Amino acid sequence: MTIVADHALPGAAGASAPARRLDPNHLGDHLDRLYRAAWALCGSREDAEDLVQDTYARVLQKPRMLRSGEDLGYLLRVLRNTHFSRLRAASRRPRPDPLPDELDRIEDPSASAPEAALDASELYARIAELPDPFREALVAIDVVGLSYREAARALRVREATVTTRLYRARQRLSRSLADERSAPAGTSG
Amino acid sequence: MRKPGLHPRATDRDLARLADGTLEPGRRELVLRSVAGSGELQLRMREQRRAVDAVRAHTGERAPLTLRLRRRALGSTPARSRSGTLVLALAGAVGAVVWSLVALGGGHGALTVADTATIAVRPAIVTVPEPRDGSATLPHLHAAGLPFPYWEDRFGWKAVGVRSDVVDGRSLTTVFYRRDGRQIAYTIVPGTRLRAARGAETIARSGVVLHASTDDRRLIVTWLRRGHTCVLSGTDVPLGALTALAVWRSHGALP
Repeated sequence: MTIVADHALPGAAGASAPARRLDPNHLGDHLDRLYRAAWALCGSREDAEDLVQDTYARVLQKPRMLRSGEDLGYLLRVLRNTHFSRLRAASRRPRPDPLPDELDRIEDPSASAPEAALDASELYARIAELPDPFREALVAIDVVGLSYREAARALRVREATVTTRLYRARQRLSRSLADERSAPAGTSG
Repeated sequence: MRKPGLHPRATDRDLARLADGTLEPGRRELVLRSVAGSGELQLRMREQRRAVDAVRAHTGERAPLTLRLRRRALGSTPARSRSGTLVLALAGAVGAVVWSLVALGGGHGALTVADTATIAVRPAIVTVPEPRDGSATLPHLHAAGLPFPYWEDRFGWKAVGVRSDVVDGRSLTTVFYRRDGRQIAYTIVPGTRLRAARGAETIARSGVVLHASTDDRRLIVTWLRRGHTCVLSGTDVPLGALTALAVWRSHGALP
C-alpha cells in the first residue's frame, strides 16, 4: 500500500509535528467549507459540486500522511490543484455542442426559485473573477476560515505575501460589489 | 511593504488584519489612530470591511444534498482501486438495493418504463471512473454485457454516479449524467423488453426506434440495445437532446 507523505510543506508551523494519517472518516466534516471554497474558485454551484467530489476522490485514492495536522489546509490545497487540473483538461477537450433548443422542455419540479441563492451566486461569481493569487488568498482565509499561517502553508507562500494578496483581493471584490450596485465609484487598484 | 502615499504607520497588511480582527492588540491601537487621522485609510478600511462582511454573510451556505450523497458514495475507505469492475463493487462492497414494484410505486404487474424512471430520482451509490482519452464508453461498467456511453467530450454530459437496483428479480444498473446543472439517468434493463409506456410517441432516428413519454414531468426515452431495454430520462432536458444521446454510437464503437 502506498503511503503519500506530505513532505514539502513550507513554514515552521507544524513542521516538527509528528506525521499522522489523514482520517478519511472525518473528511466529511469539512464538506461545507470546501464546497464554498470550490464555489468561489469556479463561480458555479454545479462545477463546485463536481470539483469537491473530484477532490475527495483524489484524497481517498491513497492513505495520506500529514505532518502539520492541518486537514483543512491540505484539503484546500488538493482542491486548488484539482481545480487547475480540471481547467487544463477542459481546455484540451473539444467544446460540446450546445443543448438544442427545439422541442419541449419539461419543467423540473424539484428546482425551487433561485432567489434565495442569488446573492451568494453573485458573490462567489465575483470572487471567481479575481486574479488567481488574490482569489486563492481570499478563499483560504475569508471563505474557508484558515488562519493566515495556515493559508500561507496551504498556498505555499509566505505569510506576508498571503496577507498582501488578501488585501488586494478584498479591495477588488469590494469595488466589484460596489460596481454591481451601479455606483459610479471605484477605480482599479 | 509600505505603499507610497499611504500613512507610514499603517500598511496594507495591517488594514487586512484590522478588518477581520486578527491584528495583534499592540499594533491595533497604533493602526486605529492612523486610520482615524486619514480619510484615505478610512476609505481603504471600508473596502476591506465591506468585502469581509460580504463573505461572512454567506458562511452558512451548506453543501447541497446531492453533493453530500455523492461524497458518501465515495466512502471513507482509501486506496479504492480504479481498476476492477464497478459492477462487482456495486454488487459486493456496496450492495444493490432491492426494491419491489410496490416500493417503487409501480403497483402490481410487470416492470414498466415508469417504474424504471423512478430510479432516476434516487441517489447514486458509487462514482464513475474517467475513461481513457478517446474512449466512447465508461470503463469497467457494464449491464447485460452492454457498456455505458462516455458522453462528456462529445455532448458535455459528465457521468457523475451509478447505482444498482434489483427490481422483481431484475438487476437494473443506472448511470447518472450531469450537465449545466441538469441531471439525466440512463438505466439498462436486462431481459425481456419493457413495453412502451401508454401514449408514448414513436420516433425513428438514425435507424433507431425510440419511444418517448412523460411521467410526472420527467421526459423518458426508451429503445433497445441487443434486445435489452434502455431507459434515458430527465427533467428540463429537451427531447432532442435525449434522442441524440440515445442514438449515438460513436461510429460503431458503442454497441
